[in-house]
Parts: sequence; C-alpha cells; structure tokens
Amino acid sequence: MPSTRDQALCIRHWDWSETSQTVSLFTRDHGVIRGIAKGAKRDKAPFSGGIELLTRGEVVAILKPSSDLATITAWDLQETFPGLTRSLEAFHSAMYIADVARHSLHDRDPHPALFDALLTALRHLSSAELPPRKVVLRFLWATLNECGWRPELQRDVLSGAPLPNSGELAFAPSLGGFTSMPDAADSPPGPRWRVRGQTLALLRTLDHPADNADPASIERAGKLLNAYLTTVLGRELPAAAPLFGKL
Amino acid sequence: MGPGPAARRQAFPGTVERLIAEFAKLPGIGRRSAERLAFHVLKSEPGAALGLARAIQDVKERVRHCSVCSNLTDEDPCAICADPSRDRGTILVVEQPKDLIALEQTGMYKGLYHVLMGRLSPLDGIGPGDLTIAEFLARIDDPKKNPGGVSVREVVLGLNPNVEGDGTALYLAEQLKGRAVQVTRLARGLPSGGQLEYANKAVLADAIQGRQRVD
Repeated sequence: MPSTRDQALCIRHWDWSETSQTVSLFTRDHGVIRGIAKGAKRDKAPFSGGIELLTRGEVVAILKPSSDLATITAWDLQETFPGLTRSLEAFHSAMYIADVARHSLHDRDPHPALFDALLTALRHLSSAELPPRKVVLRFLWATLNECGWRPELQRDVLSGAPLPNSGELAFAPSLGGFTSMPDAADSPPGPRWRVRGQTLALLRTLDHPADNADPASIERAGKLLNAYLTTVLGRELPAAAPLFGKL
Repeated sequence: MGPGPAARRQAFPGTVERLIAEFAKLPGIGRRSAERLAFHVLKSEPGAALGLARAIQDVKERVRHCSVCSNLTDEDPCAICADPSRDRGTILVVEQPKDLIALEQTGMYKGLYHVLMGRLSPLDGIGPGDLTIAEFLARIDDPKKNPGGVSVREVVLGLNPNVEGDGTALYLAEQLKGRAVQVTRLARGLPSGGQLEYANKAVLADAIQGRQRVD
C-alpha cells in the first residue's frame, strides 16, 4: 500500500506502550489522521524521538481504506513552539485551539486553510506577538467559517431585516445568528443569549482583523463563539474550562 | 493448523483456565504467555506459588499513598519522609511514583519529594484540582505539614519535559510566586556521555532553546 507524506500538527497523543504512541495529526492535505506510531519513542526510530503534542512535522503514513487507524511510519520534527509554556494563558489557549480542531473536523477531511490558521495561531501564541485571547478568537472564527457554521452577522435570523449596528441584541445558537427581537411570540424555541452590539461589530471585523479591539470585547466575543461551538458540537470541550470557565 | 481458541479453552480445567485468563489481563501478556505462566505455577512448589499469591494480596491490601508526599508506601509516612537524615527543606516535585524511583536510583538527591499523581492535561479535562497540588502548597505554607516541621527553602520542579509537563511546571511556578521559596527545575537537553550526531531532533531543539551562558 502506498504511503502518504504531508505536513502535520500533532493535536493529540496517547502512550500506546513504553515505546509506541497513538496520535491525532492534523495534516494539511489529508485532514485529521488518527494513527499508531510503533516504536516512535525509540532513539533510532525515524520519529525524531517521539511525536510531541503541539509540534509541526512531516509525517509519512499508510492510510488504509479499511481502517480508521493509519500506520505512521515516520515523523520528521520541523517546528516546535517553545513559547507556549512561557505563559499559562498561551498554554491553555494552545490546548484549547488544538481541542477545537480535533472536535470540529471529521477524520481525513482536508481543510488546508484551517491547518494554516492553526499553524499561524500557534506561532502567534509562541512568539507572544498577539494577545492569546485575540489568537483564540481568530481561530474560532476560522473554524466556524471552514466548517460551515459561520453565524449570520448581517440579517436578523428571525425577521430577516438588517441588524442594527448598536444596542442590545440576542444570539440564537439554534438559528445560527443574532436577533433584535428575542421575545417575539412566534419565534422558534431555543435559548437566546443577550449580546452587546459591540460584540457583533467586533465579529464583523474578523474577516479582515484590525488590531484596535478592546480586550473586554475580545473576551466577550470569544466566550460567545465558544458557547456557540459547544451548541453546534453538542458537547463542552475539555480544554475550554481553563479559558472560559464552565458554561 | 492447531486447535482454535475455543477448543484450547475447553482443553483446560476451569480453575486453570481462570488463572490463564487472569494472567492474560496483565500488560504485554498474550494468551500463549499466560498459558506458560499458568503451567509454571502448576509445576511450582506450593510454597512458591502461594508466596506469589500472598505478595499480590499484600500489595493490594497494604500499599497506599504517603499522607505527606503521595508516594506509594506500606507505612505512613513513607520511608523517605520519615528519614531524618534527608534535607527536609528541599522538595522535588514529580508526576508519578515511578519518576521518584528513577531519581532515587541515581543516589544524587537527598531532599524530599512530592508526587502530583499526574500533570495538567486540559485535553483530558485534568486540572489542578485533580492533582495533589493543594497538599503540596500546604507543605510550603505550613511547616507543620512538612516532615520534622521544617520550612521549605527550595522547590525543584522535576516534571516531564513535554508541553503538558512544562505547563504544569509553569502553573506551579505561578502558585509559588510570592511564597518565600526558591524555585528551580531539572536541567534538560543533551544527555551526558552522548554524542551530538546521535541525538534526536527534539533533544537538540530543547538543548538549543535551553542553552546556557559559560562564564
């Protein structure tokens, strides 16, 4: 069976035995690959000493159509992100975005743009170039866009009318967008979360992000998108709690 | 072709089959190895076989965690915490008892330990409350909770050199800020006696990141 070579980020790993690992790798052109890397931790094996969480490498894998589990035959470490463990917020942010990628994507469903977004996010977190909350918000936005869950930002999801630029709104997660009339009698059932107009205004800038948003708005927008993603996925992500608290 | 698994099982008396099934639950032991072990037990002197059974029973009944450092022990506090000749002002923090054993075998460290019983793992939902961090901080804050009532002067962070271990070390370092203890961590990078050309990329990258000034 032919082997596949691709760029990859390790988004999860488990010890399989003293020397072997099972891993979830987010590859650029083949999506998330789950696989077993036998002997990965042996010094002389072609795995650069073992596949470490949140590192980038070139992976060689045998993808069998008959099995969900690929055979990882080589891992050439190419980039580490040492700055992730210089700040607790960067550490938790990196763990969270890896968790978002793992739970939002189906196995072997390529999303090269999201791979690039994750790599950029890890570089930003490691270099401390941008505040971690801003990096997380941008990655959440990229994920929602790539997976087809982008919230409606221009029109009221109940009335279809253009949304106002300010004032208080509500977010309807089951409808995937905002409304200015959350208590309308004939509206479909489901939760409505109160949201400030500034949060909507900030989300509208995320396609072409500027650096002038205030930290409190970034925090609110991140919480909103995390809560929305939780609803879409139907589960709370384990790594969300240290950043956003329990929902 | 030999008999199938079901036929092999039927060939053994029920009690022997039960012993084989129990051995086969052990890590790295397959059905054939379990059968070999079972036959070894059958051929052994009764004293030797029952000695093995008693050792397993004793381990499960008597071994527990030290109330001070969380190390595995059959007496509380453990032998290390109870040893007055050790430097009780220094605590080396490790993830698991097996890490403590590895460090003890070097014979180089004479202080006390604290075993966290894991590390922060946000992807598994493991946070500070799931580890023995509260007990560790209590030893720092209250000398009466440290063996001999000795105040802790130095904490050595001996967590595994990976992203989760480093994150845990970072969390502990933040918790220790403002407390009157020196915080150090085990050195990392190239192994002594090794050669650069044989070191793997991860080790070399770590060594470059952690390079030190030569005075």
